[in-house]
Amino acid sequence: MKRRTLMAGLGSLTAGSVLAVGSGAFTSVSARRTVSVQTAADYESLLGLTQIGAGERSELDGTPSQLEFTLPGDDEDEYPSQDPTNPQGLGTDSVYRFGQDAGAETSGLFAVENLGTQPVQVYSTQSDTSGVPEVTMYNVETGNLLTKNSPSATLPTANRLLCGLEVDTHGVPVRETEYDVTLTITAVAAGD
Amino acid sequence: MERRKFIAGLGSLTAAGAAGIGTGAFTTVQANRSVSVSVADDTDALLALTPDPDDDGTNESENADYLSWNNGKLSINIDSAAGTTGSGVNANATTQINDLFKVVNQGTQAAVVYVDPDSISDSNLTWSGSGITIDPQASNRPNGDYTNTGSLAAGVEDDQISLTGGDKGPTWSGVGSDDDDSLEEYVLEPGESFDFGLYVSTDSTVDNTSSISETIEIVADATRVPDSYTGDGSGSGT
Repeated sequence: MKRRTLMAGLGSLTAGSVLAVGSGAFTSVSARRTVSVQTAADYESLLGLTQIGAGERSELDGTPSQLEFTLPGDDEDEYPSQDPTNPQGLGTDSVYRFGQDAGAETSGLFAVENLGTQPVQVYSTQSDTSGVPEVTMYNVETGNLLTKNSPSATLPTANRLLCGLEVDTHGVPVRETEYDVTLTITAVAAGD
Repeated sequence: MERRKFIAGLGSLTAAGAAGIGTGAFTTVQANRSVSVSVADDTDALLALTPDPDDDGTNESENADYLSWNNGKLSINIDSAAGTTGSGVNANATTQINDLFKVVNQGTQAAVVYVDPDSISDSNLTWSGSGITIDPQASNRPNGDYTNTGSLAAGVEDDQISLTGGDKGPTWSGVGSDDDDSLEEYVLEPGESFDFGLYVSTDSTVDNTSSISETIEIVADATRVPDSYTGDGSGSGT
């Protein structure tokens, strides 16, 4: 009984210093709160992904627009504008780097923008690499590949990272139809 | 007056049949007793939902930009209403936002804190839905011994668990060997807190205007703390 009195006293004290904090126990509480979530186009979503340059090696397509890559680019045959070439594909048993689009004058094939709330580190993964080209993001300014074990430097909010794609075609046979590869681009809060 | 007499007669009859029941029957009694209830903002309530538990004006939660407030009640907005440059989640992606706010037990007993899976419609819940789906998460939890192992998705914290218990509630076998073991993962003792986060996934069926709005029910239930729970018990049992 003595202890209980003391606790009540403590409770009152707390209530006094932090206004409106209850001093009592509760058996159960349930609170209903709303959550709303919406989708956005890649260029304006929390992980911002934008295409850079003409030539459609990188392109925002669909609704909501999602970044996609076609190598060589859909409009590759329009560049260089004076004397266009029309490559049919990447060579086999090779490593290619695409640091910009076919018709681009600035570097960067695409950009990752941090439109969220925390500084992040960025990298790419590819879940299935057997028999298909192996694709990895890299930082076009440093040339560093961005992998799970070696992600980008910390990208502060509202900043963007210029990226390219490295494509390894070792062991990938020549064929008429294109290879479809899913590249997963991940941004993880720095420190997590 | 006539009717009242009749009822009193009935009362006596019953009393005669079952000994020990008083014979002074009544139809209604009104006794006025006072109950005073103060209602506090989410940040200061018995079950506090707050990004700034120490009330110093600086958010301890890293992702409070996704919260909006209406008359002391918080909402989570992962859309254009959020305080972010981005106006929503990417399509075909999983977005995990940990530490939107802290859930703090400011009561005097330990409680099992979870989100009622039935409060989220099946079509919007990660475990059963499609399009945009969500599942509330708890991380930086003080109790239980569950740890994520194996290949963790990026950003998943070691002690992170589903607050809906994988749609099965806090007796989820995913985090414990039996019901009691699972329940312990969800315990908050007085003064303790965990980080509330949200796991959001989108598939290829979403379009430009896809959005969901859910009212999720956060429950803190002291009666579900298992007998086997052996926390330090501070402040409980009074």
